[in-house]
Order: sequence, then structure tokens, then C-alpha cells
Amino acid sequence: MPQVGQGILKGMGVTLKHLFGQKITRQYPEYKRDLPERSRGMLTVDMDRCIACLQCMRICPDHCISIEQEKRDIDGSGKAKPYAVGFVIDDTRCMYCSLCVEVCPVNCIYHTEEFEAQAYNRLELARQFGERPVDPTVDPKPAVKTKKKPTGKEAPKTVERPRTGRDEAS
Amino acid sequence: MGTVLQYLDQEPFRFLLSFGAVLFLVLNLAAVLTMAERKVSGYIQLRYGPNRVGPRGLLQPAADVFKLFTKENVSPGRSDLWVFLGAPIAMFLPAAAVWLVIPFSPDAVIANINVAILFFIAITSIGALGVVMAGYGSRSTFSLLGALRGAAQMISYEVPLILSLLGVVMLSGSLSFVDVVAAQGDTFWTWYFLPLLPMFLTFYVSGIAEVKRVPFDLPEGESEIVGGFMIEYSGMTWALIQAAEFASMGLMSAITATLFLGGWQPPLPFLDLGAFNWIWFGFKTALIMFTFQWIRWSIPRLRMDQLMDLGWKVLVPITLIYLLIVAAAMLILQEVF
Repeated sequence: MPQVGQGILKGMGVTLKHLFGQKITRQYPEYKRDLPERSRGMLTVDMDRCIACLQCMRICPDHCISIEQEKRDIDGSGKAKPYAVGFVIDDTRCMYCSLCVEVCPVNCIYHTEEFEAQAYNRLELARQFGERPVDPTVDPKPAVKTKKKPTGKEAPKTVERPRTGRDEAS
Repeated sequence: MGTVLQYLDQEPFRFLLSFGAVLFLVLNLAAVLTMAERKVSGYIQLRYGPNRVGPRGLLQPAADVFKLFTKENVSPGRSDLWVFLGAPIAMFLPAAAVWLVIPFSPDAVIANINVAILFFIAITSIGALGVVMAGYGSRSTFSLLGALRGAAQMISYEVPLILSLLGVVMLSGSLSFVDVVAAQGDTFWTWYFLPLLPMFLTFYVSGIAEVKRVPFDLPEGESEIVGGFMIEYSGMTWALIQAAEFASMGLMSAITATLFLGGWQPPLPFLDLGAFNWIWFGFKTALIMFTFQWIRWSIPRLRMDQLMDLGWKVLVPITLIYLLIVAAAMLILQEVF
């Protein structure tokens, strides 16, 4: 019987102590904590280094990267090399899987520490990096190579991504 | 000027004016209490609570009301619309009406009726009707469950509530709030919470149960029945239910302060503030409101059987036994002196 209500009083003592205790809330927009190393923020591209190899566009599971490629003599060597005139990253689709960062041969695409991806329009979230804007709503279709097998049998069908409704529309 | 005041003191105008004043008080009290609730909960949980709207978040109630006014009022397609829409009113009006008999200071009491305690008991019982109306009118299973729980709880806890009031009535010999406060004297050890300590605790606990606050918020029960009787309400009808809850919480605090903590009486005679003694009443009421909030964020919800056990097996016997003790003590002291 003497223990009746002791737990309640103890608990209420704890809450009363917390009432006057130091608050631990971080006031977010004014105070931003440091992100951990290798945290994956929004992607960005260093266009000076990009060699327009399209590997990031091909590996992206969400098709969020679209690149418009052009042959251009950029380094004055007299040879036309691939050059990305349009480069768009659609952050509404990106799932921060980091596959494009891993696959990039020149390390020109990488994560920043930005993570506040919000806008009033979904097109505002498609960030353009190239000289010409690319329509991010069109699903990028990497060039499909048709290669005949050396067996001489019936030619296998081209390996295609499963077609979606978006493909038909475009 | 004097003639205008005399004219307004006549009956229809006096009633209309004072009812308007009470409504103003109660609605603002509800707004301030929602704000206080969120602030206290934040501070207890080591947070800041709302601090964006206005200086230190003090304009948050205005923002809340603005948001609720702009929201659409949705009702279920199968609902019994008149009962559904009448329920918030049936919850709010009783809580507001009892404020008419509360004495803020010896002169500032709108209706100094000699059966004020009876009035309080009778009118607050209507609150259970509002809960049942909300649960029935929504025609939703969770609503009905919440309403049945609410009805069972409010009717069960009315018994110890009324029994504990009986001790006050026996000591003061009056059913009028003004007489009860006047009988308590202006020293804090003569207030009724000391001689009637078990009664005070019973009244306090059943008061929390009566206004459906944690740890007795089974009718609401967010984790099991997602809001209980108020599950289908939205916009201003929901706001009215919330206002009713906070108004009845303030009302229960005010009644506790009046009956057991000496109403407008100062704790020590030299602290008498004269015409400003309503400050003492407000201070005591605010203190009890704070303890309500403090308890809410400290104690987990009771189970239904524990709730009924506490009401019928603990509170009612305690009050019944203590009633006999009070009666015997009064008889013996009468014989001795």
C-alpha cells in the first residue's frame, strides 16, 4: 500500500524537470546541422569534364538524366568528339541511388550537400546544365545497338527496355 | 453615464450582455488553452512548441482559427445530419452556460442563484448527451464505440463527483457558490481542500474524467479508435468540439478553485487585493489548468476496466466513507462546542 502512486509521482517529477530543462530542438531553417560524409544530396554535373559518354543516362533506373549529344570539335584537335549540349537531371524522379556517380568515367557527376528539393512546379525541379535545355518529361531512350549473333540463325530481337505508355506517347 | 449603466442593468440587457461576455471569455479561453496545451506539451517533451507565428508563437491561436475557418466542413454521406451538426453545440453550450454562475469576485457573479451547485451538476450532465449525439449522428463504428465509452465513463464518474460535492455542501450549509466561497475564509488552511482532502482528490480525478482528458480519454482513444466520437468532424464543427473540451476543462478548474481552493479569497489576509481579488480566482484556476496539462503529458491512458475499477471500487467507497467521517466529526464538534 505505501507504494501506491509512487510511480505516478516519480513520472510527474520527471516531466516537471523537463518543463524547465534545456530544450534540444534544433530550429531547422535557421540552424542546419552538418551532413555526414558521403551523404547523398542532389546531383550536380561538372560540364567542363563531361565527355558525353551517356553512361549515367543509361544506368539511371529512374531515367532521370537526359543528355542531348552532339559531335563537336571541342579541344581544337580537329577531331569531332561527343559533346553534351543538353544535360538535365530531373530531381522529381531521382532516388539518390548513386549509380551514375559510380559509373561516370571522369567523375564529373557527383552529389552535393543540397537536399531541399521543393518547388511549385515539377519542371522547376528539372535542373538544366547544358547550353540547350532538354525536355525532362520525355523519357530518354539510349541508342539501342542491333547486333547480329554470329550463329547465323534467326536474328534475335533487339534488346529493348520494357515499353511504357510514356514511350508510346513520345 | 450612470443612467446608461442602470438601463443596461435591467433584465433582458443584463442577461444578453453577460452571456455575450461569458461567450467571449469561454471562446478566448479555449483558444488560449489550445496554445497553452501545445506549449506545455512541447516544453515537457524538451521541445519549444509553436514559436513561428508572432512573437514567441503567441499568435498561434489566431492562425489556428483562421486555418479552421477556411477548411471545408465534411460530413459522412450516411450521417444523421441534424444530430451530427447539433452535437458540437450540445457539447459547447453546457460548458459555456455554467460559467454564468461562477463567482469571479464577490460582486462579479452574473447569476448568483442559490442552487448553483445543483445547476452545475445538472448542466454538465448534458455534455454526455453531446458525446452520444456525435457518436450516433456520425454513423461510423469508431464514433459509436467512442460515444459508448464516453457515455459509460461520464455517467460513472458523475457519481463520485456529486458525492464529493456533498461534503462541501455539508460543511458550508449552502448550495450557492458565493456562500461556499465566503464560508471558506481568507486563510488558506481553512479552505475546504484541507479538511476535505479525500473529497478534493476525488473531485479532481473525476473532474479530469468528466472532461475526458488524459489519463481518462478513452472516448477519444487516438491509438485504438482514432479520435472516437470526433472522428468524422472537420473544420469548424471539429473546432467547436475542441472549444467545448477546453471550455469544460477551464470550467472544471474554475469549479475546483471555487469549491475547494477558496475562489476569490486570498491565501493570507494581508494579500487581500480588494476589488482585484478576481486575480486570485484566475491564478488558482490557471494553476489547476496547468496541473491538468501536466498530468496529461505524464500519465498514460487507463484501460477500460481499470477506469471502471477506479471509479466504482476506489473513488465511490472513499467518498462514501469520508462522508460518514465528515458527518460524525461535525456532530461531535457541535456537541463539544
